[in-house]
Amino acid sequence: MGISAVVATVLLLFLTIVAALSIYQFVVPFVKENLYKSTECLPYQNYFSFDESLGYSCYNSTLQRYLISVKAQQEKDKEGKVNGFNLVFIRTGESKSIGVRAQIPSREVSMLEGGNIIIPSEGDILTYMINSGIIYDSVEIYPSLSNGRVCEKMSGKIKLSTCR
Amino acid sequence: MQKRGLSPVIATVLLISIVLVLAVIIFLWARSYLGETTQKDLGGGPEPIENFCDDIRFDVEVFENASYVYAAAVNRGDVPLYGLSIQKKSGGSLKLSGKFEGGEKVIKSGESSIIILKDNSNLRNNPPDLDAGDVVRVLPILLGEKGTAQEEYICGSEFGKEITIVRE
Repeated sequence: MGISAVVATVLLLFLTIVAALSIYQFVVPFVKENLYKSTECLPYQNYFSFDESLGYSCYNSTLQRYLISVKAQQEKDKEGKVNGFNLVFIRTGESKSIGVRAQIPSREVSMLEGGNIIIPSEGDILTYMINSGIIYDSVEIYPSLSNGRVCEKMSGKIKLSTCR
Repeated sequence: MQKRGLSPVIATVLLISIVLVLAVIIFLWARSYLGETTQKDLGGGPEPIENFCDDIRFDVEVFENASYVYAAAVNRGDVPLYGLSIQKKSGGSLKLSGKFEGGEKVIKSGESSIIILKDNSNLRNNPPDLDAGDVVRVLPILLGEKGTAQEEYICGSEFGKEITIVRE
């Protein structure tokens, strides 16, 4: 003897519904959160870039500072979700990361034109002075989102030379 | 032995419907992850709007007189100009001074237009900081479509013109 076909069917249906609800409650939010984390940097992949049209992005040996011009993409809707960027200076066997955040003073970073640190927006180009006595070969830029996450994929790279 | 079950026709219809429903669900889910791009159609079918920036041909001069700072623009190409974006250059920066859309008055091929950038007689509403002698970069603005909505697109700095504001 065993359970009747009707009871078995009802039990199976019940188990299926419980399993589906569990998946909906736990698995779906888990997948969504991970999917969001893995894609949240994608729109900002090219948000910042280095610009040489103002004659900077080079090392000024007199000032002993790097003058780095950074340009932001012409997209206003992305502006509020970015709070700055990290500059990673690289030379053989060594690299150094410097964070540039709006309104946060730093010993290593200042604006070429003076004043508080601001971040370029909507096509603007701003030049930063980076305090360093070490000669680096290149610099990379990584966007930093307003939730504090620094994107792993670089937004731009430039070779450094001495300013003329 | 008696054979029971669904007929092949119903089974096929069921399979096809399940596949279709799954395809629609996956399409709707995936679509939300793909950003819509702004497109423009000048008669040759819709294309990404940035493709049109290379075809823009325009001349522009910016003047200041007692009343206004204004841009005089001539469209010498085939792509209609929706407006101009003005960036002011100073030292190590190039900052947006303002976007000046033509509104109804899109500058069509061969047309010229005067766009007021600053009204010196009304300086109350945070006017752009533009004066004679300032160097500005003028970027063309195009009008495209994103889904059903119209959206402006500012071409990159490589398509702009760098000029000095001249006093009349």
